[in-house]
Amino acid sequence: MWQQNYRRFFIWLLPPLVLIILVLLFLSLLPNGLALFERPLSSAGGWLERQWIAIFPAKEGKTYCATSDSELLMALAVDQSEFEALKMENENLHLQLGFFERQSFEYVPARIIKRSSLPTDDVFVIDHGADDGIAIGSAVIVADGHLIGKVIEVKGQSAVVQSILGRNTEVAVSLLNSSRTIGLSEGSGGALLSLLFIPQDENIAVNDLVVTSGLEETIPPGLVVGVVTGVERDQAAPFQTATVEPLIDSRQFNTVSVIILETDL
Amino acid sequence: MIRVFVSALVFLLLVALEFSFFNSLPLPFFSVPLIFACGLYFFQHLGSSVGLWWLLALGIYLDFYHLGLVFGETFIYGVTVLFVILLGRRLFTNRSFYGVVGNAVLSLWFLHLVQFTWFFIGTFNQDIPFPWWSTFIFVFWQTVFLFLLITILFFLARRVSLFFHRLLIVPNRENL
Repeated sequence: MWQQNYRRFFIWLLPPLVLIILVLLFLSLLPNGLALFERPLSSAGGWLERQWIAIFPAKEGKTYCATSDSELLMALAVDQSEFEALKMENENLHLQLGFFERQSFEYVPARIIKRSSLPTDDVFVIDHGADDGIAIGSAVIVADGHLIGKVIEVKGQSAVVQSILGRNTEVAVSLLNSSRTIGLSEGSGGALLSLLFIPQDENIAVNDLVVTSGLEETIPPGLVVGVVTGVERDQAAPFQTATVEPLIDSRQFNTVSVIILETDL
Repeated sequence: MIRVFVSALVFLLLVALEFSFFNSLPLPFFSVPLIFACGLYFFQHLGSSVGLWWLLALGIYLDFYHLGLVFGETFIYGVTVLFVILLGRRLFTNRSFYGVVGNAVLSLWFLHLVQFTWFFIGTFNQDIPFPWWSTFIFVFWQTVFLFLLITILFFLARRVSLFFHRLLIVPNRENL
């Protein structure tokens, strides 16, 4: 009898205890311990994905990258964006007679430890957070300066990042064309970005490079966002829109860098 | 007390497997609903309420890390748990393979129905394009993998039950 009551007591006590423990686990140091298991699991998954893509390459989309010279084109894209950024910076330096200090920023290298499984949003969690200086809105890049996402939430030692392709993810961008058109890229949950708020009199063309404009406080200028693959002009509308294809598939990377801008400079 | 810790530990293990490993794989493999399948199986076939608490904890986890479609996944998973209990008690038997699969698949579709309803209510006034086709493909593959997982678990039932009975998660094996 006593044993039955004892067992019943624990059965009723189980659910609230599990919840309390889970909350405590999330808020305590256990996530760091879990990250030890999550990192290799995530790396293994990423490695399997790369093998899968190597065996079954995508047949549709990625027209810009699917050419035989894709690596060269991507290298050129990075070089061009760096060159344009340096050129603009140089002009500013001349114009402001040396009062402009080159904006310096530091990186926090991080690993992706969790991913969402949503078809509409590529959200992932990295293993560094506010303790390392990461803030909401920080730019997340891969390898050589390709913007892949923005931090949407930070915790002590982890941060949640949403891909630039995710729904409602907006990034202030500019085109590397003659007039340095400024616009706003918006993700829709698919594989492409929409470039919005481009005035009708701006001349944009397919294959124009899209980079960050630097108008956002937490994102430096010159990070590669993608390339224009289509332009829609409706004379009745005040703005034209363009379709932008990212040059990088963010799902193929397990290691990213978060840019920490020293905004007090 | 041991049961509580073991349940939480198994949940965290399942979370690590699903969100770190399976979700890093390409489509269709990132749609494997591991925790959902295990939760449903534990409730419907093994008669353990731990499965339902895993589902609710999954909702909390998704909200905590913003990994869900919308904010409020705790509520959505809570409603789904009630739906699972309703189906398990009133419609499907726990002894039949078809009963377990039926409850799991219907509950998964119900979960997505509530999610999308919640999402469209939240974005009613906003002009947000929704990728219907990729969502349809995702739900299709999720259903396929749910069926496969339940099938595997069902046919390994005796071993699974014995293993978790030893871990004190499954209280008894009378249902098998």
